[in-house]
Amino acid sequence: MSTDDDQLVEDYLAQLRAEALVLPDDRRDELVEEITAHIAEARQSDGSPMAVRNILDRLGDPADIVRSAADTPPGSPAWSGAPGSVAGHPVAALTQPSRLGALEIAAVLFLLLGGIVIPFLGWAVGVVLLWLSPRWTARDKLLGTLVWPGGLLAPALLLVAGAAAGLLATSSTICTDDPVVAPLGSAPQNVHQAAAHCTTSGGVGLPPWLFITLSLIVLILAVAGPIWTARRLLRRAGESPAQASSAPADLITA
Amino acid sequence: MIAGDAGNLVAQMRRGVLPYCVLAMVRDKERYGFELVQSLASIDGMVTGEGTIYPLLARLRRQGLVETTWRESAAGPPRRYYRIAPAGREALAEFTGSWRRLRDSVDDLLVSSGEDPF
Repeated sequence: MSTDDDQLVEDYLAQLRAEALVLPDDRRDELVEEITAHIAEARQSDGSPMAVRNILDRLGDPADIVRSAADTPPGSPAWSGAPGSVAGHPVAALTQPSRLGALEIAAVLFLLLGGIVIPFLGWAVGVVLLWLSPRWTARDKLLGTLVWPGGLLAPALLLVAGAAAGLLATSSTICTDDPVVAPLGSAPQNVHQAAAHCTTSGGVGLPPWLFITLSLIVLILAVAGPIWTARRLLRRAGESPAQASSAPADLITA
Repeated sequence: MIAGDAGNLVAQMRRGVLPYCVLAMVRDKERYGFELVQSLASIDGMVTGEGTIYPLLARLRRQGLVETTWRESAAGPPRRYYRIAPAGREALAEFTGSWRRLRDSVDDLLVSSGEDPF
């Protein structure tokens, strides 16, 4: 009997730990510790066979407990969507916790820059963090994943590739008979020399002004896309949930 | 207003006032988590899942509204005791004033229009 009870408790705590993965480490540990202590206290105060199942029922679904531990418990607007009219008030401190946690900031940073630091893998870490956070809707998460996979890696590569292609094009197709110029890895003064020799001869098929304009447009889009997405994600994580549900909070804190 | 929303509204109001109820319970004496949860759960309709009180207590502590102390218990592991902090006292006083004003205004309205509900 006692073994079955222990198993029930163990299963419950395991489920709680799994659900609590979305919380920061210290908060997860603390929550599990408190719930464990609660169960121990409750079992001591009531030793009847039904007790354990009853204790766990009364504690509620681990998912609900974790949801209320995240800073955005759904349906409790007093904690998340309080009106700005009471800002700077002690009550405001109670009703307006910061919703932009370390997880969200880390997710956006990894999405944006992770790909540059550790190609692909860094960005993938960002995606995992993005989907772990309870503060974004599925739509936000999809947007964060699909708009410019790799974050700023793509424009960074484009910039490098564009520069290399430009050098190769000018040196190989237009200035073939210039013996001083090596395509890549050449000394800077040689490259400058090549550019000086070749500016008047035009690009490969495209007029140089068109080539430069198109490259600039692609580059600007590739930089603006991830930055716009990052800004949107940060804003969405920081804003209150459905405005309509904050009506009771208005009533209470008015 | 849709009549069916009233139940949901009351539930949201309960959740909204819960933090202040906790502050009121630790205003004059310190209590430990299990004790607080038991008292709150015994108030009709105040708490749906007892487990959700613990995140609330943790939040109040992070916001500096309550202070905690570990104390040995006669039987079992040490307990974390909660007591109101100065900032919590201030928030509670603020809320108490707002609550009374609101309650009186709503009562007045409900009573005066209650003579002819339809």
